[in-house]
Amino acid sequence: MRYRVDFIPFTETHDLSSDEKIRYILSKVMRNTILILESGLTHSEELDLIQKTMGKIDYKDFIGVKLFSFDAGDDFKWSKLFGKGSKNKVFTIVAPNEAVSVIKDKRGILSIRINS
Amino acid sequence: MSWRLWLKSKPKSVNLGFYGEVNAGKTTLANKIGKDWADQEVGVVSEIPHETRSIQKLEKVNFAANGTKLDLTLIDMPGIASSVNPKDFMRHGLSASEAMERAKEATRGIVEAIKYLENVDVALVIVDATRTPFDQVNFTILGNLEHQSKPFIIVPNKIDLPEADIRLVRDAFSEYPIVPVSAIQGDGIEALYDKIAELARKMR
Repeated sequence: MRYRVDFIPFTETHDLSSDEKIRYILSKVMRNTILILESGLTHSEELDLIQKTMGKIDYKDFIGVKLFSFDAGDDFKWSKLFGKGSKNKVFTIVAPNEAVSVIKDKRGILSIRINS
Repeated sequence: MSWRLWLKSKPKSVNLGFYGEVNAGKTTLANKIGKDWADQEVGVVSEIPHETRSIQKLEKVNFAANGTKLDLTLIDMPGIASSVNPKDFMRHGLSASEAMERAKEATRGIVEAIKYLENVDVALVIVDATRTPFDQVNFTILGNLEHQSKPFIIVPNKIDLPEADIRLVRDAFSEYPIVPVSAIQGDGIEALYDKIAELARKMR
């Protein structure tokens, strides 16, 4: 399986309601795309995403998602990824479940292993 | 006795919800509390993931700690996960059809557990102390409990096992109340009872 990684800037999702944002995420993830969202999900949106994911699982082609949100802190230079206007600090990664292994180690380093 | 005095002496009713990832030991802990205070268990424990696939309740649990009497309803929730794979169950010896049935029930159980969050008064968020605590599910549950102003306790479980690392759990959740336990051995359980009583006293 080949996966695509999309960096989704704030401008792509900021006009969407929470419902629309979750639909947008699921539609992309279900087409084998790993998303890195500059405009991270709130905890309530994360729970909603889990709930809506359950409704989409077919136990064959789609068994769910991997989800990871983190606070990048003040030092991280996200502008390198998303442009100079990036002020957001909480980012969310959503991927097809089998696409990635996400590990955060004791030092706080986030490793994403993309499975082939 | 006046009705006010009667009301004051009546144990406070508390819905105590058990939340957490799959196989963190939620049912083992619910059973321990059920056995200690009502001589009854809440559910069946299994090594196979998603053994609890629908909400299990034990009502009328007369609990008392630190002078606080409570009428607890223990609500053991299905483990919350963002994926359900029937192949995981087949690795535990289930047939393909059994695994598929279990997966469908687990999926429904996750939705049920999420929807029930608003009915919980106090939550125990059980974390497997032998695994790294950075599963997003833990943070998602805690964030939602905070958002809904629900009191909660983080309960690192399985501290009797040599690979348990409580320090890592404390580092990950440093700003929250944490009471480590071994649900199976009973270690730390008295401290947990004191904390439940403390949170219930503050509850309106």
